[in-house]
Amino acid sequence: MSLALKELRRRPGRFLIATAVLTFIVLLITMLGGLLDGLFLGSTGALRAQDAELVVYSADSRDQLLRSQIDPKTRAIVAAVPGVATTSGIGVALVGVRVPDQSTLADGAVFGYEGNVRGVPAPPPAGEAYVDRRLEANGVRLGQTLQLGRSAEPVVVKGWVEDTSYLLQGGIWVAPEVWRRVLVGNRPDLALAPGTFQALTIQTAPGAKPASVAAAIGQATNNTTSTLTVHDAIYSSPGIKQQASTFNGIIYTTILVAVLIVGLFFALITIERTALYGVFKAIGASSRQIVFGLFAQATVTAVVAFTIGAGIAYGFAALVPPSFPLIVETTRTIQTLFLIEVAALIGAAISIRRVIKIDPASAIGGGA
Amino acid sequence: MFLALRDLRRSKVRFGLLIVAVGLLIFLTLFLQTLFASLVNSFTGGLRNQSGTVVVFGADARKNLSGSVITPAQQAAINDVPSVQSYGPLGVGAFTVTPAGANPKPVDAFLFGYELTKPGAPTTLTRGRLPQTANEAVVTANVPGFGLGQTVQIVPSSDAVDPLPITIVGEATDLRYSVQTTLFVSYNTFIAARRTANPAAAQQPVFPAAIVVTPNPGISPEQLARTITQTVTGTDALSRAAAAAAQPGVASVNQSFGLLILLTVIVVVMVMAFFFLILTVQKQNAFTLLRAAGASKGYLRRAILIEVVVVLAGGLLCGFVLLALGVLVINQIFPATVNPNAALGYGIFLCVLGFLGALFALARIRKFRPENAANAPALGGLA
Repeated sequence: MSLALKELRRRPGRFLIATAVLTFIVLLITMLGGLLDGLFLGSTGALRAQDAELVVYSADSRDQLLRSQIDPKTRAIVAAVPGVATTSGIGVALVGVRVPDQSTLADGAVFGYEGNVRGVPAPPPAGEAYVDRRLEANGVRLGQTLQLGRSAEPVVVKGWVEDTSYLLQGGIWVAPEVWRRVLVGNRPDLALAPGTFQALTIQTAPGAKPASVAAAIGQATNNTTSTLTVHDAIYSSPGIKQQASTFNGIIYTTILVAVLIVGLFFALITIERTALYGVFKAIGASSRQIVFGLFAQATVTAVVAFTIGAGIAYGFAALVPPSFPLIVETTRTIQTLFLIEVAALIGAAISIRRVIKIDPASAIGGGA
Repeated sequence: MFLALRDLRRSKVRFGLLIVAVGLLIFLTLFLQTLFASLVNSFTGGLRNQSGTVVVFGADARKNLSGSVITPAQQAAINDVPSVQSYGPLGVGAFTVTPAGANPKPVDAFLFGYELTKPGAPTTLTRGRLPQTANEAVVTANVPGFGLGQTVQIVPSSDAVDPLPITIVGEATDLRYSVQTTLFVSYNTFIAARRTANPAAAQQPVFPAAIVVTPNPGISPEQLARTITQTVTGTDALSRAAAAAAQPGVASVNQSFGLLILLTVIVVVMVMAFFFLILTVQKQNAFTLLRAAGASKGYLRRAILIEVVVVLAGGLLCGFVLLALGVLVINQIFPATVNPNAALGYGIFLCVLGFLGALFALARIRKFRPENAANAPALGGLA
């Protein structure tokens, strides 16, 4: 194995092209993963922040927050279901936000809420808002007065919250009455009756099973509601499942390409060194030692390619404007390292049979 | 020819792997390109394929139909703008719709409401006719449960309201909006759908999301759009093409897919260059000996060229087969269609790039001099 590593150190040029190709593949996979994460995190932050087990929508909304309506009567029925500890109303309006001293509008998701949102304090008084840091890139600052939507509803930025975006728009968390005004001011035909929210978030009682509570809510409301776990609610957001399956498909195809490229590279290297490996075998080296050498070279090549590729991806992610949905996550990066290493090892393994078949006699031109 | 074909036959696994790798890369690029084109079409088809060549948004909507509202005062002001030949309201909204058929499951759909004698009608009708009265629709073609003559229903949000029936009288291609099935109905039907979906707002006015305009002859949509934006307060007018490009998701899809396709193309070129270069270097001794035996550089280059062409042709075939399978799979989750001309053009473009990558290997032949055979110990020469 040390011989293989020495070769890498002394003749890095030999591995340059394979490393370069793998680097681009790592970059491609990291970018694909980064886009998937950027789209997912930017679209679902507000739902992921819910400090609840269940989300209740009206059945006719097909679990879309923007189209759902839960009136006070339905809420009372839900609250009375055994296993429901607390209910919190929530609603959203997607609007343009006027930021002082900025010529372009920012994209805002104005949430009216009653509480139970992780990282977001209890609802502020009317006229104030907690604002997602995503909007900092649009020039939003603490203490500023933002104007929300067509009706220019004024709110003062009271504090920052993190990772609460919805459909790639920065979360703006306000009292329910402010959200209602914004909703009507922006689209009068979307106005909701007093006390009606778009959805309810449910904290279940200790010991209660969320799935059983969800079923009980459906029964109690004559299936006019649809109750999902927060996890399912996240994945019912528009396009989330489709994005994940499409991007994952592309990522796994790219991994397959990486396997084939590493396989080709080491197959070629093995063919080139058939005589050399014959000499090794003639002086006592085992097939296992030679194969481990190939694995060591594949591992190092993949690690170098990963370091450069991931480095470029991180640099690129830091440079792109916030509107570009690219977030390079550490967990995704580690997953990419794992996948590219596995691909490299599988690729190198393609040459095992050829190495085993090498006859020591080939060292003196007598075989293979 | 003889040399190349013999080499291909003797090294089936090596070339097989390369053909599969190149095929996968071509597939990846074509698939990304297909996905990109389908996504953009599906995001904006409804807007691009309506008859108004200028689209006027509310200025606060950031050119997003779903957030845009045009007030009656703004509509009146648009009417007063010179060079406006005709204009009409365009209502746009997402609804839950029950398709036709036995035990249908409700689906998401967009409704585009326009005044039937004014701009806003779908322009890509393939079957049936345009709506002539209320509760009729032209719909995205080939959507199960939304066939010609079938009746679908807008789902109400309350039991107190009846579902709103809409009969499909026409089908049109490229008519999706925000990836959803889209129905073009009369503006009054759109208002009725709004009332059905949200009876709580029955007393509230339903404003159009946009005004679609046809300019006078001799006036370009861009010119008229500029004039409207300048003269009608609180509006943002764009030509139809610019409005489609400004819809949510289009810019980020453009940027991200552009980057991914570029990276894949680079990998295709590098893989081709890398493989044939290594292959040529490995055959240095054999090629030198062939040169010493009288083979010309052209003969050796032709042999490599034949291998390149075989690999690229095999890769292209493999890529197209995988693309056809990939689109079948992706259609289960997203309506993607292959544009055969674009795919073929892209495939040929990739092959040209791959071929350029392989030129490094051809250039290498120049270095194989016949006299080197006498100096190569591996060929029996003296070092």
